[in-house]
Amino acid sequence: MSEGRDEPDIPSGASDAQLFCLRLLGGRYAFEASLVAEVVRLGPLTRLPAAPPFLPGVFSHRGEILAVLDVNQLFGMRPLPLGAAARAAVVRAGPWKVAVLAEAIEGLVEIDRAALQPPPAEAPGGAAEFLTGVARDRRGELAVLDLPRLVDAARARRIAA
Amino acid sequence: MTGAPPPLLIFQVGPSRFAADAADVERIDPARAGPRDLVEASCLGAPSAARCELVVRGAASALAVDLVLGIREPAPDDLRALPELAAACLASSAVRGLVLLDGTPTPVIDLPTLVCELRPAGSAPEPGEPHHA
Repeated sequence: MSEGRDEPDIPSGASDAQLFCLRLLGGRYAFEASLVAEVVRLGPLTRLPAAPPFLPGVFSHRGEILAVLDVNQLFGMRPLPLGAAARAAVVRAGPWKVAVLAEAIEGLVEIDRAALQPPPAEAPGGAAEFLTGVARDRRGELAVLDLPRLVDAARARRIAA
Repeated sequence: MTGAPPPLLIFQVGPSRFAADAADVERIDPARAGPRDLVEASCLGAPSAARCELVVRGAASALAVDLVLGIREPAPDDLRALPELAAACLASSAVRGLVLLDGTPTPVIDLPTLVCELRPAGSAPEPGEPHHA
């Protein structure tokens, strides 16, 4: 398993939000960059018995066992591919340290907080309740996720999943 | 997990490897060795060939598996707790943790708990069977 680290080297102003952007749920989503420890390329996963679909497995990374979170499956969407090119952002969200699987990883983006708009009422799979805002940058629109709350909800949805 | 690790029996169900405390296995029988409660499918999956059965100590039940891969005596550092989110989300308490086998995390299964969870609600444990609530 190899990994690469995204080095935050973008200068930030006091009014800028440092976000980490990746693709999932068919769109661009971001969350506070300070939550991200690193980006890893996933090798083979160990499936855990009796795990919900949104936890497709665990892997060993630098001596630590990490669970992989597939946000797509949390919202009832098609699983994200787990092939050789699969990458995940290792995040610490509240008490949970997890690897968030992504379709693709863009990395750091800087958004003027004043440009953040309220989240839409609707989002794929019911994700709207976990959004704190939306914004546009030169690559297009992105939605800002409250990742700690999302991971907490994943835990609470374990029976329904 | 703390203390000296017990020897672990490594077995395979379908494509997946698992480990269990060897002391929880009374014996390993060939498939269909005798009449008893046989667990043919569980949260571990369903065996593809079911070549043998792990007779669970004190449970009067056996788990059908594809292969028994041997006994390992893991180093203490190779025994790991489940990641916290996974531990909170699993629908079975039979998954007690993980053991690193050649660097690969392998689920450690509490066999008495596994067969107990599969017993129909309301059925009584066998005499002398430890209670794994």
